[in-house]
Amino acid sequence: MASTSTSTLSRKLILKSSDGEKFEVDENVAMQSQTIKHMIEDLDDINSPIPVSIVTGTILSKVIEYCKKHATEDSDSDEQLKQWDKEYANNMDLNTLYYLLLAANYMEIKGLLELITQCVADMIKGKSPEEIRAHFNIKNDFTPQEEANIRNENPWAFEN
Amino acid sequence: MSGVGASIDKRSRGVKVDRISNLPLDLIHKILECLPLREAAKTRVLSQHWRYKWASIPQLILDKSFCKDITKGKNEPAVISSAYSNTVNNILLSRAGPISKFVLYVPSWFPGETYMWIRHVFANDIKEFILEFAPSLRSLSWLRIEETMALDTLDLDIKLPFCWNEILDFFANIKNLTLKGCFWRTFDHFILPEKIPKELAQLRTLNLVEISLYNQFQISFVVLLLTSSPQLKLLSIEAKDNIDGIVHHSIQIDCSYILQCLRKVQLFGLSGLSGELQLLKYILGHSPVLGNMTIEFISAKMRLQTRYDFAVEAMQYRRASPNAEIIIKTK
Repeated sequence: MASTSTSTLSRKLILKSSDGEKFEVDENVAMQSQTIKHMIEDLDDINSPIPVSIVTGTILSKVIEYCKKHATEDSDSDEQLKQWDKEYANNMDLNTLYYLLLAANYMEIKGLLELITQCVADMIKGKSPEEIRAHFNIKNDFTPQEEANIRNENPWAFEN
Repeated sequence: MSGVGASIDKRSRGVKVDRISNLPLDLIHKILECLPLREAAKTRVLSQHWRYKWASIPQLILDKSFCKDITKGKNEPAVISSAYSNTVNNILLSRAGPISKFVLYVPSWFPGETYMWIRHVFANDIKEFILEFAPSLRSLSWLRIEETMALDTLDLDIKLPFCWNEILDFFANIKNLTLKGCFWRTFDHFILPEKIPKELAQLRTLNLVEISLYNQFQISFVVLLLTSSPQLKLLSIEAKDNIDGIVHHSIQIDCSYILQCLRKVQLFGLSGLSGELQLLKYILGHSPVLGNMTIEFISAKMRLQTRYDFAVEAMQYRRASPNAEIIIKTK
């Protein structure tokens, strides 16, 4: 649900990254993470920093950037938001995407997780196996004979 | 950081480590699920690590676009059907791991193996099964699946012809049933049976999407389902907009069956029709453990006075449950 009550807007939370960086964010921004939402429910004192233990400061700042954009109820249409998502994902290098994917998974931010998985899938789409290996630095550990056998096992996948 | 709109290919520069292969399996599955099955299957040739990843994706989506993809560029009917059957057989034999969601498109030539494919997948602990039919296929009389115990959720968006009894028999072991779209067109030509042959003994959740509550037959069908589902807990109805303006004024629900387990009812898209009120009246009066009933009217189109009259009328109905709460939402 996009609508949240305005009374929660004023509450602030502090998130602490794995390398000790602290970020002050509005509660409704942080609550997009199911993991944090559940942590807050268990905490008595929300004034002390909430550890986001496997996420570094660099990545956490990107996660917060995403959550902020998706928490505000300004005049952005769905289309504009999609465009923003696209540019956001396009700006990341592979390393960042990888850590962002792990962070979104750990923090349970559904929208971000879907955005990044789709972005990675788009990098695979339409490419030949050779191109995919080159793009992701995947080492081919098959012998040419093995590779030919594997193609023959599911011929339909390698037609055209 | 590169600028906005940086091409994807530039991104791999400077990265020497293979990160993607080291992702947890569930994330690899999520990525592969975003790809058409053919593209996902192609990844098996990347390296040893990737060889069986595609085969364990929990969703098996053999939908219309998959069928199109497999048969594209082929013209001979015999070539098309054998290519499709061989491919599906190959996929099912390659599978490694449980299947939670299965989507199967049945093309117009109706592959002889269809029944076998469904049985094969049902041997898994399948949670959701969606069957799509080519428009030209009308008969479902072949669909006699006995081992549906493992099947939890059935999503039907098909036009079911002739044989009501068989269809209803097929529902007998379903826990969560969603009926929507084309399903309702069945009522255009066929008369409803008076009784459901076998109780829907397992049914807990019933979702009726795009149902026409102004149509006498469809309302009767709802009542028929309700009165054959002794375990039903949640009923959710999304009414279809009455564009044609046809109203059967004489809709009457005359039934005294008690809905023993019904706790929650959600009614969306109501427009103040007499059939809707009749249904409401029946449910409220015969559900002793009802907790709440949520009503949401169709958007702006409905006049305030009509909504008010409807609400007043609804509030007057006798409630069998002392705890029944009626929540009226306006968009």
